[in-house]
Amino acid sequence: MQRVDRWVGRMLLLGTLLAVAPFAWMLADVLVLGLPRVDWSFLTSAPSQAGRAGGIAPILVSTMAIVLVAWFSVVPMGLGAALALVNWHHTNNRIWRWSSRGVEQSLDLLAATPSVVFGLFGNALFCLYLGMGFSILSGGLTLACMVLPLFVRTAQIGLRAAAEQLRAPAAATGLSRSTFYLRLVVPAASPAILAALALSTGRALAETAALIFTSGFVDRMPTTLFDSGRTLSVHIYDLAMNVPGGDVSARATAVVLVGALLLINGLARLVLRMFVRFIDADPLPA
Amino acid sequence: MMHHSTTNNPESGPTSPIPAPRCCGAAQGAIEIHRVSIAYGDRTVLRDVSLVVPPRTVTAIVGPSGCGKSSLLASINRMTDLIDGCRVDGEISCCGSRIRDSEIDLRDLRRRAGLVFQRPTPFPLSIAENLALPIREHGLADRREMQDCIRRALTDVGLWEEVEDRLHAPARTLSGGQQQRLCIARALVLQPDVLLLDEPCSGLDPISTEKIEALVRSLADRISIVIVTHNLPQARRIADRTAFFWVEEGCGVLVEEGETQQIFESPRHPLTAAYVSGRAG
Repeated sequence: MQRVDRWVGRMLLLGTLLAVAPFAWMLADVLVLGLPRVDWSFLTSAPSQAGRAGGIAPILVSTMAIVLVAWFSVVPMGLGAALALVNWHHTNNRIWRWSSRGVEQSLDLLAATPSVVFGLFGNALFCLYLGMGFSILSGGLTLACMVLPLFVRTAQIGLRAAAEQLRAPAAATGLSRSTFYLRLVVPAASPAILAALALSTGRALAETAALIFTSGFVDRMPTTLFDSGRTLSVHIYDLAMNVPGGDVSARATAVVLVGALLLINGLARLVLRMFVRFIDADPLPA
Repeated sequence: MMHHSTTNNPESGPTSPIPAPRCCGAAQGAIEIHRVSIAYGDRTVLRDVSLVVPPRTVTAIVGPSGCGKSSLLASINRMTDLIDGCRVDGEISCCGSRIRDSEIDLRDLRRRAGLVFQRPTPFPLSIAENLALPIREHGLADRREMQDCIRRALTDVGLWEEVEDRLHAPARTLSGGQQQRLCIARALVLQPDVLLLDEPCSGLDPISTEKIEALVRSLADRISIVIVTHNLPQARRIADRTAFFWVEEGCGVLVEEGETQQIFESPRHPLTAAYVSGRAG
């Protein structure tokens, strides 16, 4: 039996290594070629020669603007939708409960929809029909549509757990529905809400297909939300696919993108820790 | 804060076109339960129960598991509304108002008839905020009186000295017994006329249990208390009256009800005699 144990252990180790290897390889490739290019001037200067030289300052600004537009649309809409679904789920009214199930199923379907479809939809709705053109606003709103299902479903898990736990004591204390949700459920579920936001941001930062048709390719510094702008991911895609000799810049930009993702996750955790001490909810599992 | 409320008087309840329940003859109780049956879907868990809880007494509800004790307790302040498919038939009046009235203010009913659950259910807030939130919600004290209200409620449940230097610590950092007393304090700050306790000591150690029993006794000169318990000696120690429930054909029924001493020492029904002597249940 001991021999079998040993073999099983080895196979598990091998499996783990195989799973980690591509990621390590990718990271090494990006870091070895890209990291030397990343310095202060890379972050603060404009690209030149189609991105082969120069930096990524306008692209960083566009990325931040697009993500902020997405955040400001996703958080209020997503929280509202998640709370409505949690609330409907608990009503004694069958019709509401069935329709909430229908909404949940369509959200799951939307979450699994390829992002390029959202790109075409965003192009048709925001760029053309609503006349926003290729702009940071169109791109941010399209990203908001794309990550909304993910945000709602993730936040909903935490909200529902908190609501189920607190519903009876809140009712027994005669709390109104708004006090119940705003003072108890949302604070208690804030770790899940922040996790949902971090996940959604990661998805948004990685996106290219949905943005090519909506926020466009322009790599100049944007001055208003109606300017076109390209994000880090679109920049990487462009350098890697369309610009001969752009691969070093692409890798340097990838280093910045991975750094930004780590930074956002770290910040989310930090905010969470401060917040959790304040409101006394169970912290996120590490 | 804890003064005896005038709403305890049944005659001062809201007038209503619906005829008064024919129940209970001369007895005017804080709670009057008349021919109540409770069903979950098509499964009846409690059949045809009538019971009067006099004002300012402790009434214990005892009986084996599954005899509908907790359901009856939850139906008194309509917490059964939260359970999908739960149907309550019959008449219940609590603190002078018929609780099935469509006009009744549910939040006010639950303020006047506070329910404490088997497991402690503090809100995920600080100790002080656990009490301040319901006080603010029902507009029972302004900012200046708030500290006083909180202190009085915590003193009532014997928690003040244990927590006065950490009122702003999370409530979940308290022990189980302390959390349960905090939950009783949370019901008390709302100036209830009736306190419904659903096996409040079942998860607690003997010392916490003793504290809660003493608390129940001390509250009984101001409010009516109904306590569901599995613990017969506990019922005997703290209850003025005891109601004994039994399961008959899968459905709970009230077998006998009366003074605690009579129930334990000279029960009229053979089932009661068997149960209190430990031969059945």
